Amino acid sequence: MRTRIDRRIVSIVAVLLAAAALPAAAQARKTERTVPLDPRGQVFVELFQGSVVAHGWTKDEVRVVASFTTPGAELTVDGSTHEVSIEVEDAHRAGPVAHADLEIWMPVGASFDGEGVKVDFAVDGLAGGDVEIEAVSGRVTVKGDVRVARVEAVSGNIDVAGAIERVEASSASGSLNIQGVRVEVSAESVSGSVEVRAGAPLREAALASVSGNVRFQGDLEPRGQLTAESVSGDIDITLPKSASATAHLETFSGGLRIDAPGVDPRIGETDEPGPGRSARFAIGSGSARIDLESFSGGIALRAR
Amino acid sequence: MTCEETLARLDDLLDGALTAEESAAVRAHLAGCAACAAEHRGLVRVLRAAAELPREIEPPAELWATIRKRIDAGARAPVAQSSRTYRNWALAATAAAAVLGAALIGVVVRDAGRAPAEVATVPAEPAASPTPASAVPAYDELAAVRDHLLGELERRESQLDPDTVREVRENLAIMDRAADDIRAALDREPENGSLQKLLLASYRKQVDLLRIVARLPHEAGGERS
Repeated sequence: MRTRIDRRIVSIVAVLLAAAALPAAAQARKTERTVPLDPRGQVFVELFQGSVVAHGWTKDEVRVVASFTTPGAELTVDGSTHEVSIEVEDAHRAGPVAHADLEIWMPVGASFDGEGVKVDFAVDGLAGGDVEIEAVSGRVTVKGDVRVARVEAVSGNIDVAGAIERVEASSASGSLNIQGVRVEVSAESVSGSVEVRAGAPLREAALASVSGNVRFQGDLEPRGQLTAESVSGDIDITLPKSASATAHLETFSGGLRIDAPGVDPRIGETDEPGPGRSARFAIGSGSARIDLESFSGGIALRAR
Repeated sequence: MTCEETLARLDDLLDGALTAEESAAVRAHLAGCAACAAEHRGLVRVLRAAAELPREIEPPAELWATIRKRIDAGARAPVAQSSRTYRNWALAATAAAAVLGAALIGVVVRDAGRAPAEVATVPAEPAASPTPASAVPAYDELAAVRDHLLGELERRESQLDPDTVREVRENLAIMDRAADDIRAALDREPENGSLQKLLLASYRKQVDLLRIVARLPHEAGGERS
């Protein structure tokens, strides 16, 4: 008797669950478009919320697969063989508020330009073109040997990795992690951390945070320049032992730690009395320039 | 070449208006003088910011007149000893404020689009503050731009994503605290160039963040700028 009742309950629950799942399955719509694009063309993507994943491929065309969870969401793919514009709009609400997940395949040498509000962006496999992304609260990941990567976010974390000539990244509360940059990098956060690992001696690196920590690991070109500033975050710079730079470190109430060949590690402690410490010294022949400034954050410079 | 001679030639250097010999002399001085090099970098940043502005946007005609008036007034005012760095930062930052102001107005104009009557302008007379730091017009200019954009944020707050607004406000608070700390330190060391630079950077970051917010679309719908 009991077994029969249990079976009946299980059956009812199963039917209810299946009924609940049916509308959800019906709402999940997919659509797909493929259009031609020059190998050096440009793809623009605009989305209000969801995710965008873009891959490089060897075909001279753009393929978009869109999954919608918002009723009334519509995919629009416009443009020419030079530029393709991809947007998702909500036909029911007169505006780009629809939620969608977009997966895009585009020519490996093309450029990508994305704008999103609550959108995670991931771009990989592109080489030679530019990537520009403006997101508000999503996470942004760029992997590939692109020429320039420009990423701006309010609260999302930003990860950029690849043999990229120039990286410009900024986020308010997100953390920035940049690996492999080869010529110039500019990275700025308010409360997030900034971490840069250079892939080659850099011509210019400008790093800043208000309360987040700033870390740099790499080398500079002979006349290259590195500036890092922070208010309360720590600044930590690691150069190779062979580095050649003239360094100026200055902090109002933080500490200085210097570990470089031929430099007295107590150099910052011999400054005038009162608040404020500074040190100026040369590593090697002193050809590059390094300026590190903080208010209360500590500053460490190592050449190992 | 002295610091004064170098600073007097920075604009020409950036414009490419110096002879090769003069240019080499200025660059040689910059290579050995951190203070002048900092001035040079500040100007380069201002010019870069200006170069990145959208070209189709014109600042209001009265904006430049106001700024020009202030620069002229600043140039005529007696300059205290050791205030060279101060004045140059002030000029650079005043220009930066103009650039940012123009950019921000542009953003607001572009964002407002269909409702130009709602576009506000950068306050013409920023309020003075008693601290030595704010005696320099640059701080007040940047603070005015920031306050203007804060007003925009408050006006649009109910239309924006609450999580984003919360994040923005938290980060503005972090920058406010940082600016307060630096101002307090500047009260003790008003000539500290490093502190002046950090304070300006703090204001600039606030303006940058608010600039992004000014471009955000409404949560309930509407077009992105």
